[in-house]
Amino acid sequence: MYRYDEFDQTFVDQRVEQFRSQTSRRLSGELTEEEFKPIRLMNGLYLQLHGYMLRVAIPYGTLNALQMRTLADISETYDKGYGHFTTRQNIQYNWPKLEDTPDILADLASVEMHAIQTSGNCIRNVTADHWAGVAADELADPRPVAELIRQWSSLHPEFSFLPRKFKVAVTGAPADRAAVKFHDIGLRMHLNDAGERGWEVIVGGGQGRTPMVGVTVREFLPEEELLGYLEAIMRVYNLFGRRDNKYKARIKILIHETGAEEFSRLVEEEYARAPRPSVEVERKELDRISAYFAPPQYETLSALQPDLEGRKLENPEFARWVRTNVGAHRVTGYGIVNISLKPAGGIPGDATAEQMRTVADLAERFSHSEIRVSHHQNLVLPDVKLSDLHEIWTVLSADGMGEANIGLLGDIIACPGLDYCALATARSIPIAQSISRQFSDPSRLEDIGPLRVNISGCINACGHHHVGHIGILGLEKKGKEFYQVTLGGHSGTDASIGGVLGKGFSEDEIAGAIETIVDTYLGIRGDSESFLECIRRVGTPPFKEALYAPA
Amino acid sequence: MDHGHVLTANRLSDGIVVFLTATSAWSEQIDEAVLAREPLAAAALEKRGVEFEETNLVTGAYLIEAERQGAAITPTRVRERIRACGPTVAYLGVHTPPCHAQATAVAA
Amino acid sequence: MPLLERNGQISDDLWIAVGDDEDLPAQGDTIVSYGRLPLDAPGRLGISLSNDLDVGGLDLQVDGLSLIVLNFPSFADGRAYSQARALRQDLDYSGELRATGHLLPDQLGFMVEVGFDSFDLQTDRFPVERWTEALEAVTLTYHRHLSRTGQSPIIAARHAG
Ligand code: SF4
Repeated sequence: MYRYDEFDQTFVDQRVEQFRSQTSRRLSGELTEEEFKPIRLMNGLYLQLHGYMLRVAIPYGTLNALQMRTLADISETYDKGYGHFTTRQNIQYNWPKLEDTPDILADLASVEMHAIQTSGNCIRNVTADHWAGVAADELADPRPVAELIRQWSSLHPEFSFLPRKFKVAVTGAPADRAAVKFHDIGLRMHLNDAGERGWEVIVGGGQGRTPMVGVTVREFLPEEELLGYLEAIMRVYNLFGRRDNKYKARIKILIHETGAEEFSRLVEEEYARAPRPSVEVERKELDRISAYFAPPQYETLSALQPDLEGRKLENPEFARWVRTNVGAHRVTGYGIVNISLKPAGGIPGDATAEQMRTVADLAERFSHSEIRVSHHQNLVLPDVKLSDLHEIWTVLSADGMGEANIGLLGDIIACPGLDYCALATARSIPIAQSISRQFSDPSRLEDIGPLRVNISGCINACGHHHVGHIGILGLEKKGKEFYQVTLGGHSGTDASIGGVLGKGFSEDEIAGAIETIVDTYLGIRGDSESFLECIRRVGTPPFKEALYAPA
Repeated sequence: MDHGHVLTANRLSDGIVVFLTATSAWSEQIDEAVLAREPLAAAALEKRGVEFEETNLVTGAYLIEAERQGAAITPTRVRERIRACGPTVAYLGVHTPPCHAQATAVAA
Repeated sequence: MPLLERNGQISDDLWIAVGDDEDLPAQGDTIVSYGRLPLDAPGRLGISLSNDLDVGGLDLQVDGLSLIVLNFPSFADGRAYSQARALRQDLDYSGELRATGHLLPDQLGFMVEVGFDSFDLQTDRFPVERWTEALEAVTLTYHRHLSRTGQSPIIAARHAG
């Protein structure tokens, strides 16, 4: 993975010192809150419901064992001993002090991490396929380009005061695991007829109060032209994006209001006019970065793993975990271990310092020291020998991370909701807890099959409810929380936005309503028809009938 | 039962939620807050909040609606109840604050 | 009003801003709004551009201009950064580029990088050192080709030789 050179390190160190001076000026009263707010936000520090919250960037969801240990140490030294992994592959601390934050940032900088641009109206931390570099179906590792974008967008002088926040996601695989159609810019690598690599550039996707699937503005952009083209898009947005209404300020609204064709024309015009970064330099820079992502030395292993098969026969629980949590690696004899941070009744995405250290140890021993964070709020050990799976599973299980539910109903995405978030209209964590408790039997989960339940505590949709196969949105009416259910959302290649079913449910009713939806599906599903396929075939009527028809 | 307004803010240095008391101190306990029962008193509290912000002891001061029953003060809105008591979920390593039982009892 | 230059010097602003319905003075360097062009000025001529103009698409003759003033109605409104870049790169403007409006010290670095030369501070809200320090706080940048110094310092250093 990428390592800072002296320039990257100095850049981040200077930023820490700058924030240290800014913080002391705030504490002494020289800076007012109004003046300080944009500064702290540019450094990832929010004021949330209970106090400050620090969001640390994990660029494209990749980190090493040492970095994970530092995250654990920070949670103990400056916080309450845990952290929350988010749907944007970041980690959040819920209880840092303002006066400690410069020290936290310095600790992060010492392991080549930062919190720059995890907030504010700028280009946010870039996200990527969490299986990047190891997925069996991948054309090329998208992380060198993600790192290029990280550096290019860091304190970009022209694009740090945009109309609104701006999110970029990249994938190098045909199966979209990075939700590229739901980002301000989504980049999907593919090959042209000559077999050269390039990007499909998708713009204007997003969730929030106006969910939209992004539109393709360029089918095939040669690799080296990427940054020049991104600048053209950003420039059109910076100049023409709406600034009069923050709910209409995202690029998706600009595209919607000007029309996709006109928007593309403006971008192409800008692109033709502006000088570009030298293609030669971009190539060199991309090559320099790519070298850091060279695959590790894999051993030549047999596809036949009699020992593993034996373990699976002996232990059906282990066998189930291998089925649900281990993904196909591109190298024979290796697997991708997906660690569930979704124990039944737990808080999705939360991990204690001890659990972080356990994962760091496992990464060191079994996965070339590398760890990923997925936008499903889980962790990944990307490079594991199949023969090590049993030991890994044993260690994870002993530490509350052995749940066999990846991609299944228990693997719920939930934002912090009203338990932590100042913008929330309702709680989301307790809803996730009651559903995961209700559906805690692993064999039942496996029988139900792939099913994504996503929960947001308000219309901002950080819990991605619009793209949940079942989406749950928490709202408030007359001082009471209630929950609206949507069906049929999906964030993959065949993306769709879920449709609202009908009137909402109370906190006590919601797990029962999910039960009814699942039972209805089980009653009508065809042979090996997944939940999503079933909804797409029959639509919502049978589910509405089951939920709302008078008994 | 008294109904009125309480002034809340976040302490600048550590962000912790605090409430203004009758002696013009900031307390982490909402039960120690001064409850303004009249609109005029509430307006005066709000003005105190602006003054305190200028001294950079707290930030983001605002009024919340609340009720006092005996010694206990409970905000009217769910959001403010959770803000006053802490998360309603037992977060890892830390148990739910005792006032949570009371907060959800009112919610139910 | 103090005027800060990108080298950290503070100077007096000798330019005369002329309102849209005012006559030009008999002498001196004047700033008018873009709408009054073309114009015969007594001394050097500067213009002020509102931040909703698409500078790159304007048919603006920059040759006779000695000063262009760009506006930041709020520190959060970043349109003038893109305007500055367009003036420098698309229109090859090489005269003085000045920022005015709601400026904060921590933004000066960005402004210098996109090509601003001077800053109309309009406020004594911050001590002067705050502004001059801010010009030096972050010396490294990744961006590729915006400022007159040409290449990104980081990328250039990495691939030197
Ligand atoms: S969806 Fe709403 S409640 Fe949830 S984290 Fe985002 S802003 Fe907060």
